[in-house]
Amino acid sequence: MKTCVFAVMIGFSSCGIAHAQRTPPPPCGPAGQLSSDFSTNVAADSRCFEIRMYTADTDRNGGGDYDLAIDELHQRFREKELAIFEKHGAEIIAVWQNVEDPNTLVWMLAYRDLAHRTEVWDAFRADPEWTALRQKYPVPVSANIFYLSATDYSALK
Amino acid sequence: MPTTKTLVLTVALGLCVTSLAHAQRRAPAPCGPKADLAGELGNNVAADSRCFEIRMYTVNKDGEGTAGFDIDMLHQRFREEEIAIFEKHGAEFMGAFQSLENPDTLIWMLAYRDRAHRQEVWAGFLGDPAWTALLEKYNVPITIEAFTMSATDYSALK
Repeated sequence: MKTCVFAVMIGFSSCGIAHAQRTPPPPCGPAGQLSSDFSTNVAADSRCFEIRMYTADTDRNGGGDYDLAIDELHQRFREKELAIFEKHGAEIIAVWQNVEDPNTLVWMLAYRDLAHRTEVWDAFRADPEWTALRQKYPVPVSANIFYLSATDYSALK
Repeated sequence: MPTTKTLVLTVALGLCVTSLAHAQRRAPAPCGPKADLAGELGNNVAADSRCFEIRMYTVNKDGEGTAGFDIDMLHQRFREEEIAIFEKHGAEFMGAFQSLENPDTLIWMLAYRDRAHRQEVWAGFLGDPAWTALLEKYNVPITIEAFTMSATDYSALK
């Protein structure tokens, strides 16, 4: 029975890894850049949107100057993470606290299209300010990411 | 053997009752300004935050609905009137999106003043004959995933 449970756990964790490694984001942005499976209801002038949900690892609670890892994560965003993304050209639409999960921060970004997203993230990752910020607030998170294009009838595009 | 069966049945009933109890006990979390939230949940929330909701609707292809239903029909329902009905009842409609990972998923976002306002909007929406008629016209079976959120003190949008 123990072996069985263990095997199942391993099964889950390799799924998780496969999922994380799958990451190359799909085409994103205006209808003209999408395959016909996705483009039918998308605006010709849509930007590329991304919703990212970060759940802070509670093992980090009490780390650094923070009782709660989620507070430390919010502080990282507040202090500089957003500013670094903006410096590299992303628009930050909003940052939220999930009210049903106290450990989850949700944020939303917009880029011109997928090529612009790649450009923003390459610059972000290579930025020494980000390296320093991550060292200051090393909160492990699990990320749930959604890529979206705006519909032709959307208020936000 | 009968004992085992009884045991299994009892456990199954137990689980069932537990989950019912759980569903009934669990009132939706407060949502909106910092002052509405309990304790630590409000630590990073703006005093003037509204209540935000992200809803993900995935077409259930095995479900029963209007002949020929698909994601395009769901988008059409939104485009034609669903958003207008929500706005009539006081929600702010922020955006509607196509998921780029699942062609059968529509994602949309709303804002309310707070949790009480959300309840008011939804009660108004669900009781509206315009919604009943629209749903009859475009009955698309879906599975729903929803996230409710308050804006942080450092968020551009609040």
